[in-house]
Amino acid sequence: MNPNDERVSFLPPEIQAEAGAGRPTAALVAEVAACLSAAREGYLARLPVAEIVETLDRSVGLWLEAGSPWLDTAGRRIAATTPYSEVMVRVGITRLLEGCRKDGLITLLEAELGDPEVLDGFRPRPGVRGLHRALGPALTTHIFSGNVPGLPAVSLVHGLLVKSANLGKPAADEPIFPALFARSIAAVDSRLAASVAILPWSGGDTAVAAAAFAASEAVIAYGSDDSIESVRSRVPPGVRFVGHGHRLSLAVIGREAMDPGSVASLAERVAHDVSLFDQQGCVSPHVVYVEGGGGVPPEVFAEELAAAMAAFERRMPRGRLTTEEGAAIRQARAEAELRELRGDRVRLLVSPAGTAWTVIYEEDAAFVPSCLNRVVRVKPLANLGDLPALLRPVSRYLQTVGAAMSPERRNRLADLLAPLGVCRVCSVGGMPHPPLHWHHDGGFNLLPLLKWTAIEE
Amino acid sequence: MAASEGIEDLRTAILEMIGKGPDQPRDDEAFNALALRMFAYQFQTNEPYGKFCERRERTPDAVRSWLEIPPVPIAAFKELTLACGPVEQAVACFMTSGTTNPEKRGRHYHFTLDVYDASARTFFKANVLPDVDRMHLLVLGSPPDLMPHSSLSHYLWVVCCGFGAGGSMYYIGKDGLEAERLMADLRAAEQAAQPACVLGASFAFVHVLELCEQRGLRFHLPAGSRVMDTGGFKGRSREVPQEALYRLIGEHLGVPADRCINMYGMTELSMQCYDSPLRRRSLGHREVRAMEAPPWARTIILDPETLAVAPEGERGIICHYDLATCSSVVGILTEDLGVATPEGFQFMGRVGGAESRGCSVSVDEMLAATEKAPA
Repeated sequence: MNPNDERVSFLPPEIQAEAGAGRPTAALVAEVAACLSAAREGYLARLPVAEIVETLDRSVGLWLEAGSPWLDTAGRRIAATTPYSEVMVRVGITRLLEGCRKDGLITLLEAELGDPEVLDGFRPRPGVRGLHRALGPALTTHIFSGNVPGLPAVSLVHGLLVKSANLGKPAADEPIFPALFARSIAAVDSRLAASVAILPWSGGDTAVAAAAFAASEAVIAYGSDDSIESVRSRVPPGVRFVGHGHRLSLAVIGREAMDPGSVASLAERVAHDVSLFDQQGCVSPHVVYVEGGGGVPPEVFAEELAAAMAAFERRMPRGRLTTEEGAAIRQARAEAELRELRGDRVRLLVSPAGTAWTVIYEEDAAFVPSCLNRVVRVKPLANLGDLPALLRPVSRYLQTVGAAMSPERRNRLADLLAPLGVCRVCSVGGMPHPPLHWHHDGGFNLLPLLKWTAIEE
Repeated sequence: MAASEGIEDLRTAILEMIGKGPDQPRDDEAFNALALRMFAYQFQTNEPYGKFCERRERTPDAVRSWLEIPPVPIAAFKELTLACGPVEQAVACFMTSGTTNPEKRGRHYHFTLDVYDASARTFFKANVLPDVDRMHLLVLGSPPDLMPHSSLSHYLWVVCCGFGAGGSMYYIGKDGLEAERLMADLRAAEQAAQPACVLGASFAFVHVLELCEQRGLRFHLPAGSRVMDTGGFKGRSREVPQEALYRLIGEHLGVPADRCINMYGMTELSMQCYDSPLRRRSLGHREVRAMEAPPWARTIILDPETLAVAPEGERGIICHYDLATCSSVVGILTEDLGVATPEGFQFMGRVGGAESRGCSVSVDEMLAATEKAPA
């Protein structure tokens, strides 16, 4: 197994030869599924979860060691095929995989299962009589998105931890990472990797998708609401479905965090959250609410943020945009500038050339989703208590809130926002890096994949 | 800075340019000279526009080429009053349809319609009636008394007065499409010896063609007949790609695609662009679909990243400089995407098609989701 293998598919050895060319067929998918299931039964299903953790930790370690050829290849090839710059791809994958080391994997297992060994056999559970065992799906199909390079690793880790065979469909706009990650597992343990296949097929190829779903006991999909809905509608009854669709995130700065001495570093952290993945991640903030009455006025914070966005851009340039994306930024800027000219309390702070970054300061507190690609609004907030009313119109989309304030007020804020569907309140600067055990979109990660059996005593 | 000249001189100059006709040589020097005169006037008399230019450090003293004149995003016509005079004195105020937000409609004030009308008449004639002086016009539109703020309504009125033969009629009244009268008149036009021209908004054609389909009606308008459609669909009928629309027009009206003319106009402008096979044939040009601006206007495509003129063949934002728009601003930045071609430009849809690549939500996706959700 080597990182220089450029194929975007990763298939069982017995199939590879014949699948060399042409579009995948339903028959091929059925054959792949059969090979995966056989490999799982012969090996992965019998492997103690602790050993799976070890193997995954070592595979992830291959990516994180100094001069990793896996990371080099991914950085170079993903930057060549996606709009993202190489340095951003590398940083994104590194931060993401750091969360998939042994300690992160064990925390995830313990957080969701208590005793991870319920995956290995019947075990007592504290406070419950009898013996209990959890079984993952024989086969899980993963539909990946391409917005956050490296993200497919998390989905595959979920599948492998519950001893499921995994069939992954890479995103058309980022087909590189999934097969590369699968190969890095094979480099550590080829028998375990035999339970993983990566096969690109066209989203419109419903016969192939149907074959994959029919062979699966679970389907996990990432993408836009429309693509999630289209996958969900084709998953047969009885097959577990987990969909991660559109989400919106925001940052909130409390007045106690607006300290003249530390505002620049706070702005840097916000700029990191906005800029990483060019706001394409569900964890990327669209709006920064800044509470008034602190040591730095909200408008001055907007200036600090603009400076930090500029600095981030120098370190990690924004990706290339489509004409539509660039035009949307021009339109957002024009709209802000015109309101400024009209006398509204608006300030437009922009990159000196091009569309690299845009900070719009406006006193109108209404939540406005960004047109993405590093366009962020800063809005003053009289009181944290005003937020629920401001966020209610977009509550069905809310996900992460980055909070910079005292722990007491952060907890009160979480109390206010939890009923609106916010599933994560984290530090500013950490928004793009949720831990592996987070409540992604409000749910668990492993539990939805499991079926339980109990022996009553 | 010297005081700029008055509007009267500028009107005289642009009318003179329009008077040289649709086929005058594209004199870039003359265009540039008049554009700079207009800019100086508009900079001084259109206060919000003046501020807009000052922010960019583009003042009449600094600007040497029409390409340096700052184009105004069309959203400005909604947010600001962009007029070179007191709006109480305007003889017409054309307003955008406000499909996205009825509270916010773009306004284009006219202090005389002489220039608008001359511009409209001259280029309409060249594109729609290059071969005849008058024709029986069947207008799928409303007369201006029903829609006093519609620039399309005024435009149709101007061409109807200028070029309509006896029997020319409007078919959209206060209760909508007058289908029975239209069907009867189309049947009569079929029998007439003279060709006819059906013209109006593209979405109106869709309704008419659907009606023909439902009733199983096919008309065979006389040889030489033609169709001119304009504008998007804006949710008022189902979206139909141009090719499909022209195929349906061929089937139901008997007008072949090479006699179908597409007009591109905007409330914020005083000129229209055309994609006219008839004009191309009359000039002996090669037959490629492309929009052409009149000689008193220039359409350029801007790279959204740099706002520099995009190379031919590359998509970008459509930007117009229209010297006939003398009393607001000559340069406007549209919300349309297009591509420059050797023959002119092609319209490629509205900006706003931007989609997130994954699980974040862009404004447009959210608007779309809100629209889909039950009220």
